[in-house]
Amino acid sequence: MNEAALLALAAAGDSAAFGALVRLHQSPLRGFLRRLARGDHALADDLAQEAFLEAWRKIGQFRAEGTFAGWLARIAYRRYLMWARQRKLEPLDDDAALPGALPAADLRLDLEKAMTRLLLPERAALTLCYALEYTQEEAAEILELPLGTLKSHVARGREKLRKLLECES
Amino acid sequence: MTTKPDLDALLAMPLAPIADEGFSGAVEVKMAAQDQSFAWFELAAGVMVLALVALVVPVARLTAPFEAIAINLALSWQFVVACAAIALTHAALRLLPD
Repeated sequence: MNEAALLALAAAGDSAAFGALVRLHQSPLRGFLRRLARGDHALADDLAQEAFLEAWRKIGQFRAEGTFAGWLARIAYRRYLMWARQRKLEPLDDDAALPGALPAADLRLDLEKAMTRLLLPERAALTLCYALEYTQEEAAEILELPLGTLKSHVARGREKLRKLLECES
Repeated sequence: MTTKPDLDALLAMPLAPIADEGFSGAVEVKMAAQDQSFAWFELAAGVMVLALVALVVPVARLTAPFEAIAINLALSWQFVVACAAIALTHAALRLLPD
């Protein structure tokens, strides 16, 4: 059964259809949240679970103009933002000084480590635009940011990563 | 660093796939619990609303007009004659052979 059919059934209250959607989307959503949560898997999974439960409650509000994955990512991002704000964990506008470049190990590990040093909107924007292949317009909508702000987060995040990883851009 | 990878290519690497390992099942269990608690909440809210309505609405004042109508009808000879005619017609229809 395709996603549109599953969505129609879920909107009509079919919990099994929504369960199938959870199985389809759990991996990218948990991956996105792990990036946001700086690798804290338990926190990411808790927030992913809450995001899916919220999506189930609000499935009637989902409009097919955007993708279901994008809608989920938006709910998940809001959940993470709320969690971080409650604990005052994420500086949102502080351009913290970056320490020196990371030592080379495994490229993916390097990237994950470097990502943890970026600000939340930079991590989120880069993950959405590159790893999850959203357009910048879609990413701006998910993060509820003006397009120009998203673009500057992407550019700043890339620049910081370039310094951290000493990559060729 | 020994290698200088292309940053865009590095960023575009897909996120590592995450095995389900019971995650979806746990979500479905919580969905069912959430639905059940909503159903209970709706029932409790309904009962509360009814109880409040019963407390606030003057039931005696609402039923008083109907009582008055019933008494007036019972005291009206036209109504009594009409009822008697209906009863007699009904009895005659049952007693008379087809």
